[in-house]
Amino acid sequence: MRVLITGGAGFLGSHLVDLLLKDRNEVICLDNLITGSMDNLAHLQNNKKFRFIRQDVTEYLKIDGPIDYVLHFASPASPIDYQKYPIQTLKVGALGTHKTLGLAKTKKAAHLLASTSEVYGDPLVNPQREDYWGNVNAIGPRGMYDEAKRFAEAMTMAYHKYHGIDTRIARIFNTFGERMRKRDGRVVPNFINQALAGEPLTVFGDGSQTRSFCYVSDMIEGLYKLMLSDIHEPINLGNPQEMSILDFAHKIIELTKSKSKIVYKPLPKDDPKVRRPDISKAKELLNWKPKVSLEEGLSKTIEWFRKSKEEQ
Amino acid sequence: MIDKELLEILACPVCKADVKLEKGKIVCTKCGRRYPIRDGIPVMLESEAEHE
Repeated sequence: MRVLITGGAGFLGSHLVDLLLKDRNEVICLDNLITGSMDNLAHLQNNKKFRFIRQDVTEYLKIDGPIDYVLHFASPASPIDYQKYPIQTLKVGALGTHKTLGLAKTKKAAHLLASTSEVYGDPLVNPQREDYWGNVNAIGPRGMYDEAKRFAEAMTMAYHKYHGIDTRIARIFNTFGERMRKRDGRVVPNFINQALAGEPLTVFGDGSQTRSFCYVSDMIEGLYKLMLSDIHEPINLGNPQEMSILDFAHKIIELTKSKSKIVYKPLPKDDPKVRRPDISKAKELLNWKPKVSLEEGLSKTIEWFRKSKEEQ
Repeated sequence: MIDKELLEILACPVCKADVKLEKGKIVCTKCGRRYPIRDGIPVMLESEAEHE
């Protein structure tokens, strides 16, 4: 199959590119590299089935030849990134999704949207099922990302219903692993960097807010299964093992064998208090569930952070 | 340098027309904008193009 992926130089995009190529697909990757990095794709330089174009998908999208799947993964995804690029974030969710759906329509291709658990905002129910409508502050500090993805979902569903496009919507929960940007401001890289440097780990609030972390190989397998399915409704993908941020900090200190202490800072506005996927639908319809334990995934990630630190 | 197959799938981001390779640049056959190739990567961004 011939697959086009936007945001293919990013964390999830590049891992998905690897799996697509391993499964003998031809891959065309588009990325404007504002948050993605060619380091994530350097190992594919001589791969004849891989093509890379530096391009902004909100501007235009025209590719010659047949395409079987369009995967829309382009977007800044960490709070510091989308607060630095608020307009681009809204544009890639709105205009970028419009362009990728348009391409899928022209090519009679299937389209997969990389959406997010952030569509649930600061959720009032826990765990979150796909039929929960969410609790989002449109004009708050996270609104540009949450609303961009909510609009992207609405646009995707409209193309499915009105134009009959074969679409998928993946609601991706917190994912971690190799190739996460070290300075993207998210809790996993922050804690690992701080623990490895022997600095105190910064916990926001009292650390009682929860997250559920999924290791990247599980997420990629889930995304690939969803891509190959025929499910048009949104599907949660994530690891339902929930823990408090404070427990998570202790876990990182333990696994890195660090002597770091913990410092507390005020909780940012609109930070979700709980976050846990209900993955019943993915289990039933995709026969998928995460396999990698938190300890195993974290150990691999810590090792990667350690190594890439030495290389710098 | 970029291969023929990659050149074939590219288009000018401004006018969507076909492009050709000319003196190490990707050139739009319609508006004449010249896009750079850096480390083998076609940089199809309007802001990076040379235009007379």
